[in-house]
Order: sequence, then C-alpha cells, then structure tokens
Amino acid sequence: MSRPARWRGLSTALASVAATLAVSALSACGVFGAGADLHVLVSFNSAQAADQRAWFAHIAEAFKARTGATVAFDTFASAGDEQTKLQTAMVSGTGPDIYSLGSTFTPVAYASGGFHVLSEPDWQRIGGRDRFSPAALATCGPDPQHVIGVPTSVRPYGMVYNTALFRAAHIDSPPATWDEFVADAKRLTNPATGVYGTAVDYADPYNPWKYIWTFALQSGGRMISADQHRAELDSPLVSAAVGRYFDLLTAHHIVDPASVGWKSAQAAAAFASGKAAMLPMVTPQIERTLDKSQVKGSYAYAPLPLVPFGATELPLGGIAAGSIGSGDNMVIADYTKHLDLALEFISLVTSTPEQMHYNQVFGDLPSVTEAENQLVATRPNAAGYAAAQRTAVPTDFTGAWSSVQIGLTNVTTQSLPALAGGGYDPAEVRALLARANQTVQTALARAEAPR
Amino acid sequence: MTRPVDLTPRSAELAGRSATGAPRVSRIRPARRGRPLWLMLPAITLLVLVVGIPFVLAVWMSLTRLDQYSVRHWLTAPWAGLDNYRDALLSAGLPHSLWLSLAFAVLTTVIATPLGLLAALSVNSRFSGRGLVRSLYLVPYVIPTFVAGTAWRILLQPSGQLNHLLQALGLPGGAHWLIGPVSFWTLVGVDVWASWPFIYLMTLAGLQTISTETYEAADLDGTTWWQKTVHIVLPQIRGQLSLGLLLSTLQHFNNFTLPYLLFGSPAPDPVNVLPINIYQTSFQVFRFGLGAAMSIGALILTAIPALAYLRAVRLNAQPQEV
Repeated sequence: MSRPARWRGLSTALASVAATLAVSALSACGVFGAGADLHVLVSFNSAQAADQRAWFAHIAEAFKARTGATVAFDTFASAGDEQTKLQTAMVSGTGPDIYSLGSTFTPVAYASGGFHVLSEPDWQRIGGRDRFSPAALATCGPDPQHVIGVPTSVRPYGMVYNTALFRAAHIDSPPATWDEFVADAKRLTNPATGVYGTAVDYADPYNPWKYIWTFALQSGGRMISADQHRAELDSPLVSAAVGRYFDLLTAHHIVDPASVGWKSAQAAAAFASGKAAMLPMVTPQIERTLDKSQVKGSYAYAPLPLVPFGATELPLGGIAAGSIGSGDNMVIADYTKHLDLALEFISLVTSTPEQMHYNQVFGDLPSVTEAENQLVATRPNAAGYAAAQRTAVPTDFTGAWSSVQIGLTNVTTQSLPALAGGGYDPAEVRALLARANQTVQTALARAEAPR
Repeated sequence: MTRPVDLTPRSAELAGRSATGAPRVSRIRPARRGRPLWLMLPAITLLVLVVGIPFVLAVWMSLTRLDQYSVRHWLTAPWAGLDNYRDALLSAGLPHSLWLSLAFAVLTTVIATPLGLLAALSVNSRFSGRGLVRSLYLVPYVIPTFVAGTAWRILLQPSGQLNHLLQALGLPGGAHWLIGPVSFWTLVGVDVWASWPFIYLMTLAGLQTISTETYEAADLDGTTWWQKTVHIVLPQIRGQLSLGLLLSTLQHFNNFTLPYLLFGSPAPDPVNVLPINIYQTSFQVFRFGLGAAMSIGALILTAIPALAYLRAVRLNAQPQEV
C-alpha cells in the first residue's frame, strides 16, 4: 500500500474510533439538552403531555426570573425507563441534578446512598419542613435527621361513588367500615342490568398490593416488623387480608366477574359508564377522566373505610390506614455541582402559588399545608381529597419495599386463574405469601449486610 | 556475482511453487503478505466497547452482591463468588424460566417455519398482484412490537374482540387469554403471528437464488410440486433457512417486549420467561448481581446453537473461503 493510502486508512480508522468515543462520552455526560444550568428528571405525563410541556415552560421562566439560571427537563416514560436513567446516573456519577420520584420508590433511592441528605440550612432555604404535610414528609426519609426528599405533590388513595345510584338505593353516605362497604355494594349490585356494587382491578400491576396492605394494616398486620429485621408477609393477618380482597369477587359477588382481567383503566371505565357504583383505590386525578364521562356531576370522592372487615371499630394494634403515603418527592443527586440552584428550584416548586398552579394543571394535591388549606377553601370537592390525605400512612421506609410490592402483586397475579373459576385456595395463597416473604427477608438481610 | 537460487520447500513456497516445481496455491497467510490488518482497528474497537467491556462487566457483576444498596459505589460492591449462580438455580426460578423460554422459542420457530415457507413458495412465481401480496405478508413484521403487543392485549381481554368473534361464530366466549396456563399458548400464538414473516423473508431470499432453468429441467423430468420442493427447493435454500431458524429461535428466546406488553411484570408463572424473570430480578427487586448471573447463564445457552451453526458454516466453506 502506498504511503498516502496508508495515511488515509489510518485517518479513517482514527476518525471511527474518535466518533465512537465521542458518542460514548456524550451519552455518559448527558449532554443531550446541554446548556442548561440545572437538569430535572420527571415522569412523563402521557395523559396531559401538552399541559406538562406548558408547565415546564412556565416553571423554567419563573426559575429564570428568580435565579437568572436555566433549567432543562428530561422525562421517563415508564418505571423501566426511570430505572435505566436512575441507575445509569448512579453508576456513572453524572446525570440530572434533581429527580422527581414516586413516594414508594424513595426508600429504594435512599438505600442507594446516591442522594443528598437535607440539612437544617437546606430546609431553611426551602422554607422549613413544617410547611409540609407530615404524611408526605414521612415518605422522604427513615427519620427526620435523614431526609433526602421534599414532597412536591400528594395523591391520596380513596374511592369515588356514584351519588345517583346511591340515592336510588337510599344510601345516604359513603361506607365508613368495610362491612358497610360490602353491604352497600350488595344493595347496589344488579347483575341483570350489569351494574355491580364496586369495580376492582385484579389484574392491575400496581393496585392489588395496596388493597392487601390496607386490609392488613387496619387489622393489625404488618408487612415488615417495626425494627425492619423480619418480613411478615406470611402472617395470618396478611393471609386473611388477601382473602378479604378476593372475597369481594368470590364470596360477596359485588364485582363484575370480568374484573379478573381488568387493569385500573378498565375498572375506571366501568365506573365511568355507570356499571359500577363504587371505585376504590383512585387518586384525585380520576376527576379529569370522570368529568368527561356520563357520570359527570353524579359522583363524589371519599376516603376508604378505616374499620376492617368483621369489626365496628379499629381493633387493638390496627392502623387507620386509608391510603399509602402517595405522591412525588424531589431528591437531589449527591454528585450535583448545583446544590444551591437545586434547593432554589425546589423552593420555587413548593411555594404556595406554584403548588396551587400545579394542582390546577395536573389535579394533584399540594404537599404544602398552606396551599392545601387554600384549595379546600376554594374548591368544594377538595375537602374529600384532603380528608383522604389525612388517612395516609407511609409504607415501610426500607430498600426492601419494592420486594413487598412485587411479592403481594404476584400473589394476586398467580391467583387470577382460580379467581376466574370463582374461588381460590387459601393454602395456595399461603404458599405464595411464603415465597414472597422469603424474597423480602432476603432483601432485608442484604440491607444489614456489611459493606 | 549472483547468488544461487535456493529451491528448498520454503523458498519454493515463497515462489509460489511446490518442491517439485509445480505451480500451487499459496498457503501464506494474508498477514505475511503485508495485508493491513490494522484497518480492522475500528471494528475491533467497537467490538471491545460494545461487546467486550459489557460482557466482562456482566461477568464481574455476576460475582458480586451488586444491588440497590451498593449501586452508587458499584466498584466496591461486596464479592459474592458463585452465590448468585447458586441463587439463580435454587431460588430465583432460573430452571423454570429457562425451560419456558426454550419451549417457547422452539415451539414458535417450529410453527412459524412452515407458515413462512409456504408463504414464500406462494409468491415465488410471477402472477398479477404479487408485489401487493408480498407487501401484505410483511405487515405483521413491520408493525412495531410495542404496537402489536398493545393491540393484542386489547383484543385478548375477556370482553375483547377475539371473544366477541368467537361468540359470533357460536363458540364459547369470555375466555381469559392472558391469565393461567392458556397464557403460554397465547404468547406462542401472538409471537408466531408477529414473526413468521421473518422466515418468509429468509426463505424468499433463498428461493430467488434458484434459477428458472433448474425448475424447467425438473418439469421436463416430470417431477411433481412436492418432489420439486423436497429435492430441489429445500436443499438449495438450506443455508438461508438454517440461518433463519437459528436467528428466529434466538430472537424468540430473548424476546422481552412481547411478553412484557401482554402480561406485565410480575407475569403469570406459565409465561415467566427468562427475559421477564431477569428484568424483574434486576430492575424491580434490584438484585443486579443475580440478574447478571442469570443473563450469563442465558448467554451460554444461546451461544451453543450459535456456535454450532458457525461451526457448520465453517465446515461447509471451501478452503479458499476459510
């Protein structure tokens, strides 16, 4: 080969290598969307994509006016996408400065040790921790000295009920106990017309564990012992909670048999079409869907019953848990070089005017008490949401929590064929719970392992 | 002064002749002739970056207790030795998922192959509208898996269109296609629907290499359609079809998107295939080390047919192609 030809070949080779390395470096540094002073990762809101883009522009403008700095938003479309971006950032030590995480994922983020623990001066920059809903704040850290997150919105779980169907059945108020819930639902059920007392999304990947958790806690059960050393999914109370959940379909027949295959959207559709009189395990965001349906103006939101099955009051050891502590928390990556700006951004987002604006755009409740009070005073249906938030109880703050969720959901998933047949085998449920318990116990043990 | 020519075997080899003086094919390796192997540097660099480093990292991860507690400082994750491999076999359901994935991959390929073969044969000869039919055959393959999976999930709901269709035909409707033991066959069916055009494409590519003279000669000999297919077509497209079968099986084995879209995670046990199990272990329970060990196990398993195929190709190649 001639000398010039060799050089051309070498140049091509070097250019190829350089291009490869450049692409790798650009990906690693997260240079896409570069130029901004602060990077924030939030969940993509597919139902309100245009509203979310408008909110991004609005808050970026307000941030610029407040600090002179710019902010860029990145979004994740799914839990898998969130994990990919989060873990890439954790491993590489580069990425967004602020992450908006769901409340039940915050313990896992805390366990990773990759996020800034807020100090007292930090809280003063944000306006003080007393501004926030205590239930929301409890999802941000294991104790007040080790808090990594600031709650920016809350989404308490409650139920909606069809006021027209309730009136027709001469039922005056939503149920306060689960026995009342079943009794009301039976009065409202009429298979001949295809109307059932309640809609339950047994095949949903997110909601089934919340039912089991609610029933278990109200009865005095726990998923994990208070000292977080022992998994308790195999306890009789948790097993009974699973049974109560399945009994809605198999024993009480207050649920459409087709709900064995339903996810949350199909359960909501049943309520929206007047085919279900009650719809539990929904957040205030359901309002946006229902106000476009035939039940608009004839539904109301209420907290879930707080008294367990077979009781007229909360038993000894029972917890009045109507909702998990649910919402979004903003956490700051420990590798950030823009801690001051990050605190300023969170301060802006949690200011009372911005909390009110966020509620107007997305329907989430404010995490700041002052904003919540203003909302209740100005919007008639907000009182029901606020009441539901007062029943919120944080889930166990441990890195093993995701294993609890997966384990309980798996119990339901594997029981669906039996439910479709109209029953379930309690022994099989106990075996599934024992399997889940083992996984959670392993996760708890790993948390205690020396590192 | 001229030096005498040394016609030892080596010099003769360099001269392109045998020791007996007869011309012969050179056995000198290209590198010895000064071939610029360094031109492979970009490819080698890419291979190292894209395959080598991730593979080494995966092996290393599989030997550590990398999880949610150590991911931030992953380089100092506690050493686990072979514990993850033991857990994968004993407690993480690896054997069950492996068996499911193997059964799913083989069954899907076995069912899709005759469909693809017949489709390719049906459009091999010229006829009016052949282009349109060929395009229509590709529709399932062209539709993104995400769209196809979502559409099938809706169709397969208890109150979905498939059950409505069955009822309209007088058959029992209301079946739960996405839960219980039937979910495995649902997965096989939907994947066959989505993937048979791949076999069709590979087969059609092979059919195009068979000359019309061959068919004409066979016709003159009075062969039947079946005899032509068995004795002419299949032997001549063996290479393309074998490659198609191998790639198809590997694609099915590694298919994550379709089962995830149809069943979510946690998936029903009958469809808890290996990719879903690894996803759940790694990204929902956050045992990255265990997930890596399961991935390495899957890699070894998928490498066996791939290596067997490469070996077969190497054996079939002519000496100058080696």
